[in-house]
Amino acid sequence: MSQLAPDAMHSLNAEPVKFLVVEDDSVSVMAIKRALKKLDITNDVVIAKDGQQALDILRGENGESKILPPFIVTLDLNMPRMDGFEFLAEVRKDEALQSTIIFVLSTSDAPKDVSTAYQSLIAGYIVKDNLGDSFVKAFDMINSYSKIVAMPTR
Amino acid sequence: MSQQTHASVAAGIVLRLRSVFLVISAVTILGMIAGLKQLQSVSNSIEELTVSSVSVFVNAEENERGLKELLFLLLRVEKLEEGDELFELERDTIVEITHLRSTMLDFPSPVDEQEAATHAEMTRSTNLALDEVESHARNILFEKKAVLDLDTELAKQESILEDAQRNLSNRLEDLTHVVAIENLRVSDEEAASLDQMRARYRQSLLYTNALTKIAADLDVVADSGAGVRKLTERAELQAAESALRFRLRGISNLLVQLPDIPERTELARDIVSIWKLILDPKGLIETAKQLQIHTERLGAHVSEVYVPLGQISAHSTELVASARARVEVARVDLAQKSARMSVISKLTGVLSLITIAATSLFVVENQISKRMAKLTKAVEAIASGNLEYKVDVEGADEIGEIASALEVFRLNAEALERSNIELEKFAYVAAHDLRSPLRAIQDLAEWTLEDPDCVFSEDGHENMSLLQQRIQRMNQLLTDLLEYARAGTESDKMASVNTKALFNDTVAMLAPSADFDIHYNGPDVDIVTYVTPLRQILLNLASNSIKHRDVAMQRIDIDIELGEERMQLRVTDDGLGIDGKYHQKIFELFQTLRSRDEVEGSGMGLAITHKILEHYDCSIYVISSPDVKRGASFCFDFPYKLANKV
Repeated sequence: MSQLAPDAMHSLNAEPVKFLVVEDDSVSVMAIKRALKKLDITNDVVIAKDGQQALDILRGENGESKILPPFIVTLDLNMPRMDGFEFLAEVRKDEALQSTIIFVLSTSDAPKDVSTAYQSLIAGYIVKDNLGDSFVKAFDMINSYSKIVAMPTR
Repeated sequence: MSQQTHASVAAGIVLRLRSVFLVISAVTILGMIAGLKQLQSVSNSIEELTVSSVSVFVNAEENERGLKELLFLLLRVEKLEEGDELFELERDTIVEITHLRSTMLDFPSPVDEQEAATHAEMTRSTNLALDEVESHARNILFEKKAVLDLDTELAKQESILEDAQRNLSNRLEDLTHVVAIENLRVSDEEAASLDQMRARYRQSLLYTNALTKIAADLDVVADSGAGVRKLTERAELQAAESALRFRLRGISNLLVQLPDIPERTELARDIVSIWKLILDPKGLIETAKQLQIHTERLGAHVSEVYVPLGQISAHSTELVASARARVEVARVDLAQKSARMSVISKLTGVLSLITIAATSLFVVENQISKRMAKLTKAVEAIASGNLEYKVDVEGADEIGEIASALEVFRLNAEALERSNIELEKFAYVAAHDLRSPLRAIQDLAEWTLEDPDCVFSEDGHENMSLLQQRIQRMNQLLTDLLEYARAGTESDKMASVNTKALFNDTVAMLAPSADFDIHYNGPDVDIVTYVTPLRQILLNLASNSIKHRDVAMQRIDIDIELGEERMQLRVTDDGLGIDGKYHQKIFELFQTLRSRDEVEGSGMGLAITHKILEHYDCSIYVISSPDVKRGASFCFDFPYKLANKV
């Protein structure tokens, strides 16, 4: 944890930012991993396959080890068990998790979904279009974000 | 239920309204009838008054006038100097009496037996009085006639007397001369004697004296005789008569003193005739006496006639009094009736008002007006989109039926909305849920191609390429499907945009190649409109033109024309054009005019455009005749407002 990543001197944060990717589709996960590889992002990535598992990871419950800040969450909206909106509601209710930075990564471009998501104070809403490098662009942005923006440390 | 009860209930509201009007009319008519009845009664009273009483007053005046007239006539008769007018006056008097007889007995019909008896009595006594008047009148006429005749006779006798007296005077004068001369004719023998002469002279003086006295007495007699007419008292006449007798006797005695000559005989005869003239039973004195008597009688009758006249007048007054009493009774009756009529009118008015108010309140207001208002509110609410509104109007009449029909509509609209929502949800979910695996397919295909260890043959490469194309196509299809599902369902807000800027933005999004131009014909104004869908439509139409262009196509024209509340837009190209038989088809879903391999297109662009325009109540059509001229022109209208009008 104390080991500094190669580009840490450009970063505001003490440690490299972790990514919690909440996504149920395995092919999408594969695509994300490939995008990260392409961008040469070596930060830790944790995968949760639905909202419930993501919560468990955030809280360190039900056999999951707790993820510690700094971290950024990318969230898909359509998931089984607990979908994105439910997860957002839960997170924002929880005092400990309130200030989590969450980017929505969804196929839906419906304005209703966008506005509802923003009502839960997400950091940004990214639409997954079917162009091949949309994940690349998204994570490139998120990476830069993580380097420029100060993260909550709690 | 509706069909069966419809006929029997159809008159529900109408029947009620008709009943209301009937009731109001009935009340009004009843009131009118009552009022008219009273009016009739009043009118009768007035007529009675006019016919009976007024005629009595008129009659009474007539009678008074008649009585006065009669009296006047009789007085004139009394004062008459000459007999010329007597006949006329006699006639007028008779006429007047006859007239009085008829008017006096013209009574109004009696109201009861007592009055009838009174009338009968009055008739009897009036007739008696009039008879008296008549007899007096006749007497007056008769006496007057007698007076006039006697007067004439008297005048005649007076003149005869005058003549006689004159003759006699002359004769006396002559005689006096004769005597004088006679006496002076003396014989010689007589002349010798002075005494005889003196005796003769003395005799002649005696004779002359006698004659003179006789003449003087005659004058007096004549005067007296003439003055008799003027005497009014019986006593005076008597005295005059005595004086005349005395004087005439005196004259006779004087005659004796005269010589017995034939002249003396003649003189005596003349004096006797004068005596006769005056004192005969038909003489002057007698005539004067008669005149006096008749004049007296005349005066008596005249004064006596006042009595019956007065009686008749009294009757007239009595009738007037009774008529007055009747008038008073009628007046009181009239006043009562008027009051009653006024009360009835007021009552009717109040009753009508109450009825109208009651029916208005109960039937019109409660049953009709209120429910209509509720129904209207419900209709408006539901029409404006509030499908939850409960229609709380019911009843077994037309309004109730409309309410139940409205409920049916509402349920239908609700069902429709639900199904629309369902459809949208379905489209949305479908598109989304289909997109995810499509992405996966696309990624996996790409990664496969990227895998350096995976080697494809030429066929393999082509297949993979086709695979990726098809994936793209499906993706686009899904996007368009989503767009179509969403089109026209969102209520976009109006925003301000400049027309020229709109055009420029569209061109920028199209990013046309250099070999053709996009032109703009239209105003450069700021307008307020639904910007997002408008942009969508323009983009769609223009990109369609570009997609279907051939090498010869050189331009696209975008025209905007501002109308009153809508603007007309036109996107024209000079491409291949669209055959007439496809002008309707192209707006349908999934319709393309070229195979999807030639031109990539989902066939939904125009369908989406059409759906959006339908939402705003606009229309779109295409003008194109490819065998006549190149090109196609898509025309549509769109709502807008001028920016400064806001």
